[in-house]
Amino acid sequence: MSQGKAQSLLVSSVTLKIVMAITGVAMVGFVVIHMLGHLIVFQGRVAYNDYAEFLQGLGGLKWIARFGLLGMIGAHIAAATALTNRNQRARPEGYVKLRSRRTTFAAKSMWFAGLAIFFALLYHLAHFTLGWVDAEQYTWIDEFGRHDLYSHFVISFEDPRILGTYLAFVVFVCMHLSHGVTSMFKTMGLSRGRFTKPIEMIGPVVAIILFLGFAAPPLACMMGVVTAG
Amino acid sequence: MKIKLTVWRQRNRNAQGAFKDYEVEASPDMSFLEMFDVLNESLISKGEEPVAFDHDCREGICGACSMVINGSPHGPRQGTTTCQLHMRSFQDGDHIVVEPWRARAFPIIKDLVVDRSSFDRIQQAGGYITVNTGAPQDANAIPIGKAEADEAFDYAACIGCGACVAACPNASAMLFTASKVAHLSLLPQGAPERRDRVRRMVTAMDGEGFGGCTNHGECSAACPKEIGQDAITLLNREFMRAGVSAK
Repeated sequence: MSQGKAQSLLVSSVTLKIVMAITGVAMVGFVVIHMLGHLIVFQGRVAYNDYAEFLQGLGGLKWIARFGLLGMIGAHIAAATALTNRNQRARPEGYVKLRSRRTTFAAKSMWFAGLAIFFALLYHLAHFTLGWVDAEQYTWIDEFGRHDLYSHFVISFEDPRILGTYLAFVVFVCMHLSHGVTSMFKTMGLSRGRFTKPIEMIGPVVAIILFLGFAAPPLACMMGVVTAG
Repeated sequence: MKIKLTVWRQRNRNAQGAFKDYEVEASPDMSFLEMFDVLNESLISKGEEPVAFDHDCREGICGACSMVINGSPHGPRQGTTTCQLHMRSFQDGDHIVVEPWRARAFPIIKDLVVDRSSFDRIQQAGGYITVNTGAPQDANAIPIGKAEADEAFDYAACIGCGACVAACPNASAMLFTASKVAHLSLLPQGAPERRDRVRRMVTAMDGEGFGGCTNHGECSAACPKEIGQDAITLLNREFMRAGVSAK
């Protein structure tokens, strides 16, 4: 393989996009499973804490998944940074006016939404994984002597400040994915001919489903449909 | 009809450019470029420097004309080059802002004229096929499916004007490069250089300083030949195919 070939396959803008897409697929997979897991809150304390115990009991697998996801996030951000730098350098002098005909707000705010998601994610981990936000709630135990994640979850979302920041987080994730998921299929070379129109739709549809799935449990907590009692 | 123009004027590559206002008396039957011809005649008669702009065939097939008109490359009409845009698309008294294509890889030579030789270099990197010398073979000797031929022709319609780069928020040349790659990838004549073509053209594209594609679709919306984003999907596919190839 000549040096030219090696270079184009390692650092070309298309390669970076493929990195964005593959890491994106992995993270969307996580997000979907995460959403399904949280819907278990509607089945009550025992079912929800069972699910939490199951995940915590995965041991080595859990750590592989955690480090895998961290790696995905790192690669996604690194590729995004390289691409964004390149894109900004490509037009040093802007237009006095450039009209958009087809792009969307979500597509134009990918970088901003991505950053917002990253910081919201740090807060989310500090809240539910590390237990730094409500240190006292994190020590609650249920009738079987396990960490009572169910009560932690329900009581947290009865606080409108936590609910508000969480919903904003969900909105950013959904906005990011409404463009990202469709973009992923295009980058992976799948959006062609008769697949083009359905793939244009798949991002927004995934975003709406995720929004409903993620917003429902905390809203139910706030409205008293799901209670800790 | 009276038109108020705000036009980018720049003496040369290194000079600082600025907008200048003009008034032109145009007829609705004039093309946009003919309106500029009228402006330039009046500027010449006043002893001023005429506005430099690229043009050649004036029938929408050469890809020379290149103006961003009120924020849209080639103006407001879908699938229309600047030379095929007529003043009837505007209203009497309209204020029109005209800028050159803006991209690092398209440096301004003068006023509205930009240097698009970066496109030539991308094309030279791999946008060709191998043809044996000697007598031509029969035209019907190579079977090509109707659907493939039609699609390849859609991509071959690219005139290399650069509106895709001009419209892209990232100043990416992806639709141009993809049109060339997609066109040749669909035809048996393009098969011998298939792997190297996509690698070399992508490397050349990146090397020229264009941005990357983020699937906004602005390129396709601005393309006077209405080339679809499917071309980009095909380039990505070709790139991955070349990437998994052992050669």
